[in-house]
Amino acid sequence: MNSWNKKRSNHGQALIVTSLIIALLLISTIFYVLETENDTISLQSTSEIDFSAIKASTKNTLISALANISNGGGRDGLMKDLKMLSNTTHAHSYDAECDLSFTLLNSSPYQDGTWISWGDLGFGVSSTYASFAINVSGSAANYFTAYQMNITTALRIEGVYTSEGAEKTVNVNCTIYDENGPALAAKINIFYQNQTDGSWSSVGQQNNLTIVDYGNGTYAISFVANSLGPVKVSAQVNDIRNIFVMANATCTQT
Amino acid sequence: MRPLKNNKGQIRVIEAFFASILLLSVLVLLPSGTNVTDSSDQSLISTGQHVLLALDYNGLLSKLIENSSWSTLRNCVQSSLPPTVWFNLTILDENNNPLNNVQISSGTPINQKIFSLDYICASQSPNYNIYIVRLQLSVVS
Repeated sequence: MNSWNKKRSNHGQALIVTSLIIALLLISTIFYVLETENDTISLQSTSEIDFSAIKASTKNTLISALANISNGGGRDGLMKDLKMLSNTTHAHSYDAECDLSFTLLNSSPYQDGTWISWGDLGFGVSSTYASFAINVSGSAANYFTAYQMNITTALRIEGVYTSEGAEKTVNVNCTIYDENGPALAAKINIFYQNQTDGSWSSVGQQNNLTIVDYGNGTYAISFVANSLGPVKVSAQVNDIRNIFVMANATCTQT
Repeated sequence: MRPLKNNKGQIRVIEAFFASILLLSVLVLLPSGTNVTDSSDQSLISTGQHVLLALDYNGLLSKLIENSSWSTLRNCVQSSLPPTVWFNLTILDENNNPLNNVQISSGTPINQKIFSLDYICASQSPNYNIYIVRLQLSVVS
């Protein structure tokens, strides 16, 4: 009878101890699940941002190189700048190893990723084109993306003139484009060719120069030229990214 | 005949009650703290990265750095972040040499837990340069 009473009095203690063991098991399981989830979430949330940041850097690099090349810099500048960007990207990747590789377009009309064509038929283009691949290798997962990027500034001009003896009133329409459509100019310089000696004269206030900006990449330019024959004009434009492009055209008489 | 008075089950009920309270408290209290902190940390870092991406969209970030317009840069970052977020910005060249000679921050840190992210900013100007923008963030706890 006494041993049976002692056995009965320990049942409550066994219940408390059992519940403590179950609580400890629950705690350890929950900690394990949370730690595993944390690693996965952190890599997934930063990979898209890394791609966007690197894409922005590649775009800026192409713009810089094209601005440099179109303003007289060497064509090898594009390769050097992209190599520098690739090395810096790799050196400053901490959470995961990030490799940026690129290929410059070498099929006509592009050469070493660049196409510069400033013609006499009223059309000029300055362009660069490259393909990129980004490989991010993390401890939990790998990410890869490939894309092409093109930076272009193009110019189209056409002009007409009315003759009043040696003086001609010239009206020129300039339209500027970038890779996304109509673009704005930061600077427009107009020249016309002297038919006597073939020299180019800069058009300024002495020629009653007026430039109307329509706000959509189209500029209407009017000036007075002293020229005996047909008027040949040249427009030299720097867009808002400082990329240079020029085109020549022969105006028709109206 | 005396009425039966059976108190044997009362203590067992109380013991079972305490055991269930112990289990329930573990289930309720344990998961609530850690998850919220982790998601808000990632949100803070993402916010910082988005701010720098937005500034870099048209090359504005690199132009401000090249012109050493530190006060304008501070104002741009401060206006883009929530008012409860502290930040400190350090501009480095590709060799990790600091370029800003003044502090670009929103004051003294408000929390000992500070997050840092590096953003690679390429210049759009013909004179090409690469800058490392180190943004440190902390939020009111």
